Amino acid sequence: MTPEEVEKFTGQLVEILEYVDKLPNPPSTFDLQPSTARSELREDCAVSSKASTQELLSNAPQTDGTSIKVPAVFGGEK
Amino acid sequence: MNNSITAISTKLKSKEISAVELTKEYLERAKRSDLNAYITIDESGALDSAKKADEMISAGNIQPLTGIPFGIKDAISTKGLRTTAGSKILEDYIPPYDATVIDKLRSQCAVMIGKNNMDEFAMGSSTENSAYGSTLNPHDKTKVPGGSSGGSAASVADDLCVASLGSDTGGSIRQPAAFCGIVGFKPTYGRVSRYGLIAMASSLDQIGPMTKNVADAKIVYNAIAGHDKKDVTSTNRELVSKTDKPKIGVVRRHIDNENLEPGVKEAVKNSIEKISQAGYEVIDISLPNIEHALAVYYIIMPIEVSSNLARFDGIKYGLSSIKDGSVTDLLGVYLDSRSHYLGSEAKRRIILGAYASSAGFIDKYYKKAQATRRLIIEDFVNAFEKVDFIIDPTTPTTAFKLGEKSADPMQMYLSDIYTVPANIAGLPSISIPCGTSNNMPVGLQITGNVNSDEAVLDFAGRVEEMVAST
Repeated sequence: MTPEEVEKFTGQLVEILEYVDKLPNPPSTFDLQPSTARSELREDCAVSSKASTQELLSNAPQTDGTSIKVPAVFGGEK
Repeated sequence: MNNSITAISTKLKSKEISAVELTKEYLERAKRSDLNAYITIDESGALDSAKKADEMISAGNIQPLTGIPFGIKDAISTKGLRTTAGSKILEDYIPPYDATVIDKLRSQCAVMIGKNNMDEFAMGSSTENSAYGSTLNPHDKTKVPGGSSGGSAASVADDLCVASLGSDTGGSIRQPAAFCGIVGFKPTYGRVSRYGLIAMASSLDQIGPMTKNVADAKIVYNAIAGHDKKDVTSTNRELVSKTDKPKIGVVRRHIDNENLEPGVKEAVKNSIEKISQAGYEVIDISLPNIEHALAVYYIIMPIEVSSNLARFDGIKYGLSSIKDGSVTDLLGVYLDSRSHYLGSEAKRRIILGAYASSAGFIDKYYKKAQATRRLIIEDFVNAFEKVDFIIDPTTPTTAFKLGEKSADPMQMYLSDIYTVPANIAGLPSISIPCGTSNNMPVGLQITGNVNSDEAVLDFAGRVEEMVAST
């Protein structure tokens, strides 16, 4: 981020956090079970894609033709 | 409004006009428009589909959406057609596959004119956060069309397409529909597949129709709804049955709110009066925790955003700092690509979400928000034991001026105060036009119980007639 962004965001984020800080604590008897999950169970199998490797690679900024190319984790070498 | 889906389909069927002629007209209108409602116009793709539509019609196989010119929010993936989600980082992104909703439109040979402008990654309420410039409101070009599906709303309102698909995470279909004087419907969470929708906040996102009237919304909804194994949140549960004489719930505090623009209040009260005069029982209800909905939203949503947007890392797709050679290590590619090519609102929400979900604050923010979310859902469960639908203003004001709120995110967020609860609880909710305030359209919001989508659309159709009669 630029120094201007840091300055601009600081005030804005403080204002947003002050707003969400007003959220009260839920009643002490409240028990949050994971039952809010609305996804349904399904068979554990891959959903096939019709796209070819080339199609899937076509948006990558750097490839070697069959794989995505990335810089080294610690830099300096490729 | 003329040029509805049903009106145009009748003309296509009787061969009063061909799909190719119609498509050329709409392409011309879209190109001539100064509203900036489209990021990409797909002339050749649209004409190809139109030719196929004409063949289908000649073979006697016309379906409800055959040959109908559509706009598509640019967050919905279209194979071979650039999909930016309103972001600079996806300036060159060409999806290798179609979203499920696009598959469904294509199977009926609907015609896609182009991709509609939107706030970056659907984050915003004015379309001013688009990296491709703001869209203008067709009713007053000094005002915003709302957002994030502002390009969709403006293009439907100005007849630059017959219908559009939008997406709604906290009101992004309904709020721009209200600002532009059209119909926008957010279905029950899970009833329309999000496969191929560029995700913003996955526990809230939903695709839905933006149309000129309720009958059209129903046609589009029927075309795109249905279970999809490619979306794990997709649901097939039975629809709630309709009742002949539904009861209507009103939260008085919402209608009498002093922050409501006077003309909005009047239009909404008049509509409720007409509903009551038509013999529907209108009951005051209370949703005790609903005042916390926006705070809950601004905790849960940014946390999901910070996770979903991690995929834009300059490695797999999108603009990247790898190419300019200025960075030579992996972390540098992530940091540099994201800081250069993501916009301000995306950065604000990523920072907020990363902060609120960090180890030290997870109890203070996320867990508290999830607990309150559950209390809000329970409020709705209790309310729907007494009433069938809840009526609210869609927005506290009509469309505001371009630039009026862009420097003050909190003010911008407050324009979604009536729309956010339906996303928090996963409910179907529609905005229909209900009059004007200072010559700008006002939206009436009708929200139903989970899986009562058809009942909501039916009732909204009836209210649409009541509001039109004087």
